[in-house]
Amino acid sequence: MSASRQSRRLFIGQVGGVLGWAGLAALGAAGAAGPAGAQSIGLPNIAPRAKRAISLFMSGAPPQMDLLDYKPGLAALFDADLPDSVRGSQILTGMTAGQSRFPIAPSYWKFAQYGASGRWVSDLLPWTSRMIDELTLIHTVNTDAINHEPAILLMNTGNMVPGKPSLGAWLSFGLGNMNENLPAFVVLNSRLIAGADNQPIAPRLWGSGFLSSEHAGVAFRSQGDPVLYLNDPAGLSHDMRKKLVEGINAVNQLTYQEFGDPETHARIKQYEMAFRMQTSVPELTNTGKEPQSTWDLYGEDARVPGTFAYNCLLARRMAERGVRFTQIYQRGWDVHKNVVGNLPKLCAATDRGCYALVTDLKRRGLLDDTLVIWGGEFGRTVYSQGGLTKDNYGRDHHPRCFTMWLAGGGAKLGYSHGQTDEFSYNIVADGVHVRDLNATVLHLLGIDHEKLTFRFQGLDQKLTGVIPAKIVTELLA
Amino acid sequence: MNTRARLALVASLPIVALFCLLIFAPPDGLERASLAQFFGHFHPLAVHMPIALLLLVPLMEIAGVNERRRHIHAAAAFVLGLVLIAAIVTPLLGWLLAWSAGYEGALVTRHMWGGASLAAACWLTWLLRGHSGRLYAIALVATVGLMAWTGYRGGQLAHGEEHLTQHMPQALRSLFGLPAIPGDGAPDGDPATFYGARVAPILREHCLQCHSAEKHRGGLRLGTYASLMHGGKDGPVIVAGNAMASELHRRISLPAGAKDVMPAEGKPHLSAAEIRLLDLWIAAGASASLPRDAIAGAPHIMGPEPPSAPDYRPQQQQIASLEAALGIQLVPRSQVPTDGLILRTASFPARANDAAIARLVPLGPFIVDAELARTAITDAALKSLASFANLRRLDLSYTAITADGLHALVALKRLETLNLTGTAANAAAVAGLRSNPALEHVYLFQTPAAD
Repeated sequence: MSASRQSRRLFIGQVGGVLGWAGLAALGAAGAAGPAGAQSIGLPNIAPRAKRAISLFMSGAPPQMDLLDYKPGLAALFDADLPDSVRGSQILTGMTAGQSRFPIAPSYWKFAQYGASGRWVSDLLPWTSRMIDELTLIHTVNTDAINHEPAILLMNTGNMVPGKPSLGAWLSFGLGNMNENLPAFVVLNSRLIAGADNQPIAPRLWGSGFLSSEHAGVAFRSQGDPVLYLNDPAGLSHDMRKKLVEGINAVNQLTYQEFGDPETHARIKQYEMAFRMQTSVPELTNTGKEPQSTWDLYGEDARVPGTFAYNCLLARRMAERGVRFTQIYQRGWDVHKNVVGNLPKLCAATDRGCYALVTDLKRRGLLDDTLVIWGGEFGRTVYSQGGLTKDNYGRDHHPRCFTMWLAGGGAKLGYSHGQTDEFSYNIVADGVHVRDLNATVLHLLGIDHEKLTFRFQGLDQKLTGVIPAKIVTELLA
Repeated sequence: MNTRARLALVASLPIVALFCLLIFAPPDGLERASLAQFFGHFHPLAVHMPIALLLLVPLMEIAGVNERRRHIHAAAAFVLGLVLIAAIVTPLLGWLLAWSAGYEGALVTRHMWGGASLAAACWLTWLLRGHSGRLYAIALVATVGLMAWTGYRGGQLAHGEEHLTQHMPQALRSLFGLPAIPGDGAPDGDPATFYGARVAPILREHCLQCHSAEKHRGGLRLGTYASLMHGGKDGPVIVAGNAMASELHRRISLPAGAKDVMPAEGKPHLSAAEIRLLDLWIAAGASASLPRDAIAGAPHIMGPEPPSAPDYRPQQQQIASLEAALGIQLVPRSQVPTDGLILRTASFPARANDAAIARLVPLGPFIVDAELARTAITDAALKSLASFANLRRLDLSYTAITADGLHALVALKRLETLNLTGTAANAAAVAGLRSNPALEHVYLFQTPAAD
């Protein structure tokens, strides 16, 4: 490497990177040499409960009191004002801060108890209620952000400011690939639901931040070819394409030797991965040989590429083939208005897929070491946004408490964690901050969240950030 | 009287003084002035000086035999002089440490007499050099031997009595006539009693390094029930029936960094569960005969779990070459090298066939998790797998194995999870595996056994 050709910035960054790499390599028994941030660093620290994870991300934020956080006392409080003492000094969003009153909107739906654990589930989730004994419900997740973009970034990257690596990128960096022909981190965006209020999402949610780009999530398209340009174009044989990629990589290798920019190395890796995906992805997405029992479980929706159910089926196929982290986004949960009209559509689109995925993983013996995580970026208010009638209300953003669930991968079966007040507004006991949840998820994957670090901007950066996070041991089986 | 004789006389005075101190002011387990302790604690630092220098002398003498290197021979005299000074100062500091910091016991006494004798031996060696080549050589060899003996005793004091032997390979152990299992002393207390089964192990782990029959700081010995109840220089440490009034409880539950906290000197503290267990036992009367499960709700202190597999690291070369040859991966399950390896085939499942598994047999004991779903294996591979004695998880989903072939797996005594999804496994074959003692989960989706 000729230092004279390097830019000053690159050189300084590289020295820092090499030093950082030395520290990380010391952590890991199997840390092989390579550019900073490019490869697995020899984790896990401890024997993991889960080898892989699947995130079912309900983007937009589901209303917890209409689904899984049962508040029977609210029915009697219809249209009563939410006591000021409950709201306290909380700053509300611009959408409801100007409301003259905050009338309580009880859930439109009935709840019933299910399973041996006797937990309450809304009529909106008939499929989830069947598998309730498989789930660990966390009623007291809380976040620092009240608007979508910072909240969804915090949930996925541990920080409200863009530019940090996402959970999947950290896992790719820390644990590496299980199958070298597929990315360690795949993102599946589900089709939009007609009539729902779809907040936009952006690739930075599955970005690699300051980690090498090859750790970024690979997003599959919801329509057409899941990955573009996988098929060889007319007139170009597979062998020729192979030679083409090899030639490009040889040039890139020369560039890397001359300048030493880790991004060049990442680019080489990405070309190689893309070439291997030419055969691995068609096999992965070919659901034609799935037996009838699959369609019986997932429903006919799962035959349509891009639906949530189809993505759940793909997530199972990826779990079988060694994808480390699969994240399915379903947008549309931002029910500021017309909860009664839109929430049934959202539940109908997702409920069966969630059930089918957990059940399918279980019967195939994969749930033991696959952690499934369901939830949104925050919760929703008990008071109505806009006008309130028994069958028409809206709910605003609510960061103080919301419900998520875990299944498999060493999470405690049939357990409900934490308690919210009678309005599902404040936490009464056992709050779980997003960073605590992330620390716990990493723990189940065998990673000490204090040790999965990368030195950037003078700080040993980590998913859980600088405020101390704790592993919620009650959630562990 | 020449200079040399005068020097010898001067050097003999502190040596005599040293012997007088050992005889008339031996360490008695009491703690004394902190200034004395301050200087005394330089002993472990200073001690390396005479050891290193003394080892240098015979090397220099041997090297100096050669005519071309006579200057080395001449320099040896200077080094030997330094040895003498260091060998006098170091045991004086050592006595100061032992006398002021509350040391007592046979091990300390032996080490101290060794140190004083070593000072005398160095003096004699120094005197003999130049007078009689043969006598000097004998004295030098004897002095080095004495230094090794004394240094070993010192090492036992600082790092525990078995610091050199506890990790000794078995072959060497038998050569030296050491017991096969690294002993932690004769187990005191009946394992059927609460004391023997649950209290003594905690004391052994945390306390005996400083409070044993061999080395009893503060006069306290915790190796036996009788000595535990007897207490130390300042009286009993246990008030039977009252944990809160017991000195033992006070010392072990002080916050880390407190002056009196035990274990001292940055050694790992007792866990909350261990403290609670000792408290419960004291509160229940601190009896030696209380049955082991007599106290309801007493926490169970887990010993270290038995390792999942032997340390794979010595096999790393073999692992790498097999990975390259077979297109499989052998991935450490965690950073703990005894957590075992995962046999991973997801990248090229078709390459994992019977021949590949057969070649992995030498590494079988290291593999705790075999991911063989969708691979090309048949029943022949199951025969190879039967020798993977530490295998806990085995995934055979969608392979061509047959119901009959599964019988080979009865040999897997540690197998916990067996995934047979999409195979020909039938009910009879699965019933045949019921005798596997650890088997908890068998997955049979899409098999004849499920129908």
